[in-house]
Amino acid sequence: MENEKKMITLKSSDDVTFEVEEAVVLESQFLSHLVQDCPAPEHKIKEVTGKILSKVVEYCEKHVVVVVDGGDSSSSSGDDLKKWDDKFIKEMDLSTVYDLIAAANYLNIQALLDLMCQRVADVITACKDHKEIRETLGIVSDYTAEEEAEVLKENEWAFD
Amino acid sequence: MKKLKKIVSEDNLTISRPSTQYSTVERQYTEPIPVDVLIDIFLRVPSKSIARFCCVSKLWANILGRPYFTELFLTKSLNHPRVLNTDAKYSSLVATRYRTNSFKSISSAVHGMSLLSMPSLNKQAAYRYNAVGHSGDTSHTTRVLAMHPLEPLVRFRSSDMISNAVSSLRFIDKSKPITRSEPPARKF
Repeated sequence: MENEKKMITLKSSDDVTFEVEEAVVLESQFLSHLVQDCPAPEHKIKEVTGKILSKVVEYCEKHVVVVVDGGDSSSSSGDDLKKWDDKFIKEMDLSTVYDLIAAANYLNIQALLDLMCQRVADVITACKDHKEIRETLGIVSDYTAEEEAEVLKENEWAFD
Repeated sequence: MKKLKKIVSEDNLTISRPSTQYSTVERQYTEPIPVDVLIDIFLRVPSKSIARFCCVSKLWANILGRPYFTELFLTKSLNHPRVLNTDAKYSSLVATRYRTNSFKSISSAVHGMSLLSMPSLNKQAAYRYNAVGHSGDTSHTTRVLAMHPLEPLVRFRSSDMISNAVSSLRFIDKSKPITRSEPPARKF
């Protein structure tokens, strides 16, 4: 497996190209099917921008490397990987997280999707009320004033 | 392994998906998170947050009110026994960690739920918590539905959700008084 490293080029919607090992691409269910079914040297991913694809590639490369090294010192690399994930996500603003969710969902990279979902979950759990959640996620409320008052009353216990 | 070619504009801001035009300053996301992903997110938060989320938008309230979501939420974690709590400051069902010493189990677990008797819970409190199974005759003992090895749910909006689990338990609307006309709890 190690002696031949097949390289694959991924092209983002805005024509940013990334040349990656096939193993990296296989982290994505969608891409592994794509590569199998259509063995072209280059694959255009119209749904993902260069900015986001670079994050996806960064994540997948890191995770592939760790899995390969995992045979020697699996537990420490597992911890390292977690640290890396934490750092990866901390540096990200929410709009990037949103885009990465869309990308991970589209490309079917479950571990990345999990990481991003957990991030959003942590962020919205930390919000003190519904207004802060709306502000944070840019959600426009579709409740009328009366409806909102009613739903607030129903869930009054959840607000400290 | 390494990116051999990476042609990216120096100014990362100029890269944007044609369909997703948002301003990071105003945090307007024109492309919302798909519902299945939202559910994934909602399953990662405590039950109290779920109640807060209901107030965010109708869409969220709708997702959180679906029986499908309830079922997922209930079965998410099998490792944390919880009981539907009846702390006096809450007006809806809250689930907390199961404390065996406070409750006396009346029935064995059925689909992860069982009836417990709670000596400390008076009728008024039970009324407030709208979690009433079949009420026993002992004046200060009310039976509540307990989630055995399952995750908590904030509240049950319809009895359909659990009807196939414990059909003899009834959740009454908190605006209605406790009815005692229910048939005796079925033998589990």
